Amino acid sequence: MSPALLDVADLTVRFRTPSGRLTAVDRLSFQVAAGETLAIVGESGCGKSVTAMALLRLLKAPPAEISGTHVRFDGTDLLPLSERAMRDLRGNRIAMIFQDPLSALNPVQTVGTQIIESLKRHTALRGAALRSRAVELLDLVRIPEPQRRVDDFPHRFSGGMRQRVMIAIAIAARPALLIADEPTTALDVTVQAQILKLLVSLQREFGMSLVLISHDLGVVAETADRVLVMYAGRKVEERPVADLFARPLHPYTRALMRARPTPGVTRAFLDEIPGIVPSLADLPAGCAFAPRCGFAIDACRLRPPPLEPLAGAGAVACIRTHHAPVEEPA
Amino acid sequence: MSAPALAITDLVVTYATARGRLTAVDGLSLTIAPGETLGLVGESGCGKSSLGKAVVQLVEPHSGALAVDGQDLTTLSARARRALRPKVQMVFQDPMGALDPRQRALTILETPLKLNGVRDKAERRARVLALMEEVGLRPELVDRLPHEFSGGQRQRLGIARALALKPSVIVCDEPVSALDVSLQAQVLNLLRRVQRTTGVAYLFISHDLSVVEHIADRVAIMYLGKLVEIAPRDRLWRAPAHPYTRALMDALPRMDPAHSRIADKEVIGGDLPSPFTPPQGCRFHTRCPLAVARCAAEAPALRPIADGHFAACHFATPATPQPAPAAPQRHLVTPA
Amino acid sequence: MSLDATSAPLALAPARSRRSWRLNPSSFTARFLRSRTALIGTTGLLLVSLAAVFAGVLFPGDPLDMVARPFIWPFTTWTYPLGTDMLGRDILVGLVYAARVSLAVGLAAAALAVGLGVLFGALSGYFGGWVDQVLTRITEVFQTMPSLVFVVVVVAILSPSITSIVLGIAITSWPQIARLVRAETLRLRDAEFVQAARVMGMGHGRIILTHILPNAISPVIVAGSILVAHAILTEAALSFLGLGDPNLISWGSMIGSGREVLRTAWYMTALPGIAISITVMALNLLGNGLNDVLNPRVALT
Repeated sequence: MSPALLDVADLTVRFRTPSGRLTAVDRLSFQVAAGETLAIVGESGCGKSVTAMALLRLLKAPPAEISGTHVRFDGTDLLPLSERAMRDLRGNRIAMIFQDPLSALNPVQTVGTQIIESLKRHTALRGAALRSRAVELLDLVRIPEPQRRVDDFPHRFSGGMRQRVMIAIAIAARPALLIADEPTTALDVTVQAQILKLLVSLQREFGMSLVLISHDLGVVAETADRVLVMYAGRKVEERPVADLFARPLHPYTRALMRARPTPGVTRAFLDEIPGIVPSLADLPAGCAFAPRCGFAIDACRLRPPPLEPLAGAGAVACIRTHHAPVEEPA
Repeated sequence: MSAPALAITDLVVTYATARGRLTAVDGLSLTIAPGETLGLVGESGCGKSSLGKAVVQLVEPHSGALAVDGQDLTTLSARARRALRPKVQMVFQDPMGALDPRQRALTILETPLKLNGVRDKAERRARVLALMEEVGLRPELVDRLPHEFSGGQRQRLGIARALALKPSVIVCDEPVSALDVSLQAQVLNLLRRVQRTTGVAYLFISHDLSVVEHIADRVAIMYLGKLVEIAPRDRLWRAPAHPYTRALMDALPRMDPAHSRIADKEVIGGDLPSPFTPPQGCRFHTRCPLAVARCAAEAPALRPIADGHFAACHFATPATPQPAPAAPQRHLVTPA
Repeated sequence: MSLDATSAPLALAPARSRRSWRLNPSSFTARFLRSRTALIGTTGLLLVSLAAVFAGVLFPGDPLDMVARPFIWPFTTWTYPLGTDMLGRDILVGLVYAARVSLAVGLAAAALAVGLGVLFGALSGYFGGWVDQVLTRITEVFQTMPSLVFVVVVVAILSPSITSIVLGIAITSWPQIARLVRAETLRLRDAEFVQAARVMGMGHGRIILTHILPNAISPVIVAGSILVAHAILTEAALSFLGLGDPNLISWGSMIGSGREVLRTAWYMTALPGIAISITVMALNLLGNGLNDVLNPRVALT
């Protein structure tokens, strides 16, 4: 593998609250190679969005406290970087898009103005070149009639079109890394497919790395090269996408897949995951999933299971992985 | 045969808005048998929620007929209509928003009983506890406020409230869309269990075809206020007749990276047209890969394709069922 | 966000007994006790109220009686700690009795304004359409009137009495409450829990009483406490202008009568002025404190 573009080691995010410190992300390590798509998947509260925000230091500190061994981006450790240096990096080498494109766009400025603003800050372009570049970018994200649409206000765009505008702004400075936090969750299925396809094709065109944060295993399966599954702030499994979906190893990953209705497979009842995600304020001593896990034994409840590398590629944090029975034919 | 739990005939729902009159539901007919689940799928702006609201009488339909257990609401007096209200209940999308933040579980579940003339306080409490048990909530939670419940528990409470009046039909408006996957499964299973014990019929509205495909006996697909296809679940999945249905199925993300990757997928282009100015002719023709001149001029009627299978497309022909469009999940059917 | 899992421990913990001696840290009382502004406001207001309620016990007799020689300065004799006025009336006794009038006017006017405002606001917000059009126009008519002038006119027409003053103040203050309640009602009217109530067949009146008003009332309580302060000030202004109830002593009338000797005996104006300031400030603190307490999201940041 080529040297990683993003190398995160032991990233920890804590929040100070009236009821004590909550660890939202617990010693998370992962790497993203150039041109690769890493998906971070998990349910709400698992720490996936906090991770994305922490990478760009978009969390308000306090209450957030970010620590770790290092967060190396293109050889530079971001953790000790000043706020000013981070600001230069954001929207430039690292860009981010969010779930709700409407609230991320300024309603009283045309989309052209907002793209130009980003171009001015991050590129050497000036004057008339700015506008023509803005039109080019809208064309690049497949917005019809970009010449005309560049002067429209955000409310004139549909949800999918707004997300395209956000992508145009994000790629304005040709970032090396794009972080997409639930970019299609608010969109309809057909539009979701369009946006995902666009992201993947732009990524190939520019050799960009993509970190895709999602709760939707289907979206992840369709787009990612590697998948990182999070539960209660910890990484429980990290695998190449084909391996993961062919044979999920962590009981949580498996449960998550079986809890989802599968198109074409008729089942009277879905496999429920009993109970609820534990509160960060009250995490169990051992494996955080143990209270809901059908394979848990006493040893699971003693201490958090170590993340063990697998023979091929990837890693799993479950001491029962090699003991848990292989699934029966449906 | 007994009367359908719900029969909708030529229903039109319009709204007066600042931008003019919006026709959200445009002459739609369907029936739901007692104990049946009809899934209603469509993207935002297709009118599925407006249809649901008309069914529970939250909005007044512009025209058309609406019959519950064989009684036509549109011909009844306001008083008689109100008496029929308990027959059709609703489960909402946002489990938090659907519960009054200042009322305890007891009050929330007791209110429908009170309205329905259960005067005895002890009896009400007993019925509330029975309802809570039915939806899997422990009795000691009866004095909790909504914010003290988890998301899944809140939706259970919403389902219990809908069940309190012993309805014939429950309109489920995106009941699991706001929930995490693991909670979705709990709520979907609960809905199915409740149906088996009470025999209630569901109009299950969702944007998520995979959820609907799981829960529904029959599936109806809506596009811009019109029904484009309706068929028994298996039939629709094996032999979708309308190009929009096929587009929805193709767009559905699958947990099968070996066979389904977004980069290799054919994705339908375009956005949903504005419901204020729906296209002439077939409403889907602006995005349809099969569209010809006729589609822009002439709106196709909903025609029978097979037994219980109807589609509104000029090209939909009675066809032999095809094999399932996607290979089922490997890890679910074969030992890895 | 990750913090939304914080509701989970509650769901896992065994149900708390409602008779538990320990205060639930998120309860209204607990948050109220933690709010310094609300506590200071309440304490101030409580002192003034106690003085007003027990005025007759503390100082039996008529506050308008001339009890000593005039123009005794405050803090010069223990018998009349705050001195006497130009007619030899005890200023401390006057202040305490005047508190009765000021508070009564303030509370009554605010209560009336809140009652009217809630009625108009809830109906116009809930039903919308022409009901809203008509009620909003009426509200606007009253809102555009210059309030003090309108109160002066009302009091002048109805002859100065405590009732006409209360009526005048209430008539000019209810529109702000009505607008507040209307906005809250509009927000709540389409809430899913209100829709759920309609689906189960609940009538409009009952929906407004059990779902809309309980959820709309917090900002009204806040505005109401500020309104009491506003009413006290208006009453003072009216009395100062000589439009107060001539049979009663109020802080405003004390200031009014002290005005003539302002240069030589300024304490006669200053003391009731301080009483007004303290009361109004206490009410404002209470209002702001309640705002924090009733909107916990604001208090957390």
